[in-house]
Amino acid sequence: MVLFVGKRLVLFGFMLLGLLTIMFLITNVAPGDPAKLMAGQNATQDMVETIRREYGLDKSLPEQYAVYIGGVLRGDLGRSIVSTKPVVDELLRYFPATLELVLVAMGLGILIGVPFGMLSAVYRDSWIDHATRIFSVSGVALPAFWFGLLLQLYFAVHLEWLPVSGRLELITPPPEPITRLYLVDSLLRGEFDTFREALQHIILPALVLSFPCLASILRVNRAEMLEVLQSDYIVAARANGIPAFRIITVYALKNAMLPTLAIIGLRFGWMLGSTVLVETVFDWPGIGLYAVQSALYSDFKPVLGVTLLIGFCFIFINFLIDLAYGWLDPRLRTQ
Amino acid sequence: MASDTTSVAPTGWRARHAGTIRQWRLYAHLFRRSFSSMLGLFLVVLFLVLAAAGPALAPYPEDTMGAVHLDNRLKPPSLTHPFGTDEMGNDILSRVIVGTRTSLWIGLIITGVAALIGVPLGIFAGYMGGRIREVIMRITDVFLSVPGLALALAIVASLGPGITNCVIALSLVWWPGYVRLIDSKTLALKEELYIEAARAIGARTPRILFHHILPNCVSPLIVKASMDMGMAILSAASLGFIGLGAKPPSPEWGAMISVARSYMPDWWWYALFPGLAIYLTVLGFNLFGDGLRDILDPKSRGR
Amino acid sequence: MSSLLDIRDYRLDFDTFDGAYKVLDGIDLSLAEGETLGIVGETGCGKSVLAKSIMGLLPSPPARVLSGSIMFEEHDLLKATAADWRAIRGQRIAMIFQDPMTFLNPVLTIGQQVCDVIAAQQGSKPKAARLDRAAIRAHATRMLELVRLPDAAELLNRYPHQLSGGMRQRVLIAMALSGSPRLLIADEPTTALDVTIQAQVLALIDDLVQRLKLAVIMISHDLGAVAAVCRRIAVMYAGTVVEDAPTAELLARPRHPYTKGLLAALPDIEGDQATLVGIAGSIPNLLTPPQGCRFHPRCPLADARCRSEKPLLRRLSDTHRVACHHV
Repeated sequence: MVLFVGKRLVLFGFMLLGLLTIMFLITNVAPGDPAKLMAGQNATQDMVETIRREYGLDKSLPEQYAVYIGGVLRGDLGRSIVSTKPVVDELLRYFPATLELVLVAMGLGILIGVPFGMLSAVYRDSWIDHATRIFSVSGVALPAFWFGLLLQLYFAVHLEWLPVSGRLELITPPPEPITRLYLVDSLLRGEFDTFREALQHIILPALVLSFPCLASILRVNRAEMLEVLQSDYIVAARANGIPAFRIITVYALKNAMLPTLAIIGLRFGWMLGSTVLVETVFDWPGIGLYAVQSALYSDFKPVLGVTLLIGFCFIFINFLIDLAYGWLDPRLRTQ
Repeated sequence: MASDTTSVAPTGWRARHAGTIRQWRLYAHLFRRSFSSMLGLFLVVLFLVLAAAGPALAPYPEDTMGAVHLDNRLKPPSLTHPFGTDEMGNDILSRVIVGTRTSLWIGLIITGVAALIGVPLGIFAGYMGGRIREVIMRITDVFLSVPGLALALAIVASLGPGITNCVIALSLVWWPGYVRLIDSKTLALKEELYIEAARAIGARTPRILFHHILPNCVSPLIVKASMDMGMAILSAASLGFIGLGAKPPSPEWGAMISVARSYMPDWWWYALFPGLAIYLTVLGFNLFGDGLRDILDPKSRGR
Repeated sequence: MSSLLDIRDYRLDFDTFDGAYKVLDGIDLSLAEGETLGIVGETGCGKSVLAKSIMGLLPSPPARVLSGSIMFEEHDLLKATAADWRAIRGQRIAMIFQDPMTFLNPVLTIGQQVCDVIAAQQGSKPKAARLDRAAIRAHATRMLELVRLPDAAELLNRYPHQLSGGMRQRVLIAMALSGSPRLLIADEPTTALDVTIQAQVLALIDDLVQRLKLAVIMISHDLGAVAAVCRRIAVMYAGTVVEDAPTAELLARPRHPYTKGLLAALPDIEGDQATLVGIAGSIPNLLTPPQGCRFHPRCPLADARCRSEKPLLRRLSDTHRVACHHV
């Protein structure tokens, strides 16, 4: 077990270094002069040169690489040109909003996706199976930004059930930070009105974000359940008189969860990536919106910071999932 | 000569190819039986036709090239303008139709480039094994460790916005999936007896690759490419929506929605129809790919 | 002897894209309380399908019953409901399988699986007779000891992949017998095992059958394995029973040409015969089975009648039945 975790840790470190390298190459080897891009279209040659020196862009590539890696290790991701604040500070400010959104969306995805995937496999070719199949294929095809706009139009503007955008109403003060997740903090502080408001605000964006994820969890879980249900040990369990409900929920699901877990990890990354769309539509003050706004100003230290953070989260989640795999599958744990 | 052939196979072409014919009949049967596969096929064909004949089918072709009809601004859907008009008074239906070609091209280029990079790398990694495979697969893993859209965003940000850079960025993030797919397929095939037999009788590596391994990768490749067409179109439209892809007034679906967003909620049709076009295209390619997978590669369903 | 299991005129098709495969064509077999019956035949002759039918494990579609009945005690198994099966499977009829590798759930411990089987049986008992958790575990340990597994208590915490093939088959036997069934169906129980382990497992089954007075149906393509356990053997060919006789009689005086062929194909260690004789041809395509006797294309005795008229399973004596026009 220790060896198993150790191996995964080494891989985790390696992936991070690889990620840093790729991001460095993208920004520095890409054609086009980063200093010129940063300075904007109307900048004079002088201004471009100043920026070049200021950001160390006049040094050789390996030197720049060393400076960059060193900086990242010290927790320095550079400064935003627009706000002139350190990128790390801004990431810390915006990240909790994104985390809250992604966690709620993932929760929705798993809570709906796994049971319906199971049902659809057990009642194969019934109406419930057809409905979930159509739903799962269309879920992946829905453009998140468009779907978000439609939901806003219907639920917020037409029915006026839910707010259009933001994390809370402008006049509502956020709860005193503990975890910086409004849903958790407002509960911990006992501010139930704020909790309700935060919940109303998160429903639509979380739904939009969870849709593709829900669809693919459903799909994979269905396919795996179908395969597992045909396996020999299920036949043996039936022959030995184990009740059908127990066969499905224990004997089959535990085996089917292994590939489902892999998809959950994969989709987690997807979700983090899609926050750039969903947060834009819902004005959700997270790292996705931050990245988009910075990108539109060609301010790419923040964009890089966000990409690194997303990559880091993704690698971290997959590391956790690897561990969960070991826990679910005794063959991995005991060998 | 002709009489020779008939005497060798007196039962004719049909009988000689009975196995193949049965196989294709089975494919067609399975595909036709599935409503979702047929829906996918219909949508794909529909959008291919729209892409091919775009300008000819559009009721107001001049509206797609930046015409201005200020007296006709933001009209709701009507008989003359079934999808309504936009803030320049242009016919949205025409712009959606012409946008099909752009989107399908983008999808095709991204998928094509990704496959051209990914397939050779995958075969190479899987067939060579050992160190070489280790290196290729680790690099692939690193690329896969950042969600495609986020990585593409970073690349576009450093290249500068625009539709060409957007396609470059998406192609760069799309290839690792193909390496994974082809590598695992090649690894599995390498263990097959007939490949070992070919090697044992002294067939050379290129021959084994081209005659034995590549043909067996074709069906999963087609399935993946079909699914990826849809997803690539969706991603390009997403970048367009953010404002980093195609720039208005070029008729690109994502960019249209990006502009339309500021005209919500009162002028809802402006965003509705381009989005519907994206949705139906992506849905079509996904359903079609899904249907293909069901018949070509039934074991890997859902993955 | 009253019969425990009685199969009458059982016909079954498998519906596929190519059409209906006529898998079982009028099976007539019965089994008395405590009797041991072996069913032998080549791969694809329908013997496993027959076994699964008795356990109600055939997926439908593709399987479609055309006619017949399978009476067990007083139930017709072809009409059994889910509730009937709960009381039958594991407690009246139990089954062990070919490949112990794949028939145990890889992610659950041996203990969880054996205890689950026992726990499932508690549902159909009166409340007072039900076992609690500790008693279930104790019963599980006893079952593992019954099949002569060492360190039974410790074994309960292990996972299937940590056991050898022979041990896994013993676990499956323990699970099958934990509900004290009256009939045990063994579907190729030794095929996937090493030769030395095969002998041990066969000896174990033989011993348990005699001690527990079980009725057994053992299915195998290996005549030797079946002869070691069963007192009676039925030979199947292409979905029909062609001969049914006590083991000693069948081995000494086979009557059906197919049975003769099977015996001639056995390597004879002590005998003088140096050459092995196979049966010419291969089993027919069940999509379009031969008219008349399904064996006629491969039969040395085949004549016009064999090609047109299906031979019935006729009694030669009280215990010997054969389906051939030439006997």
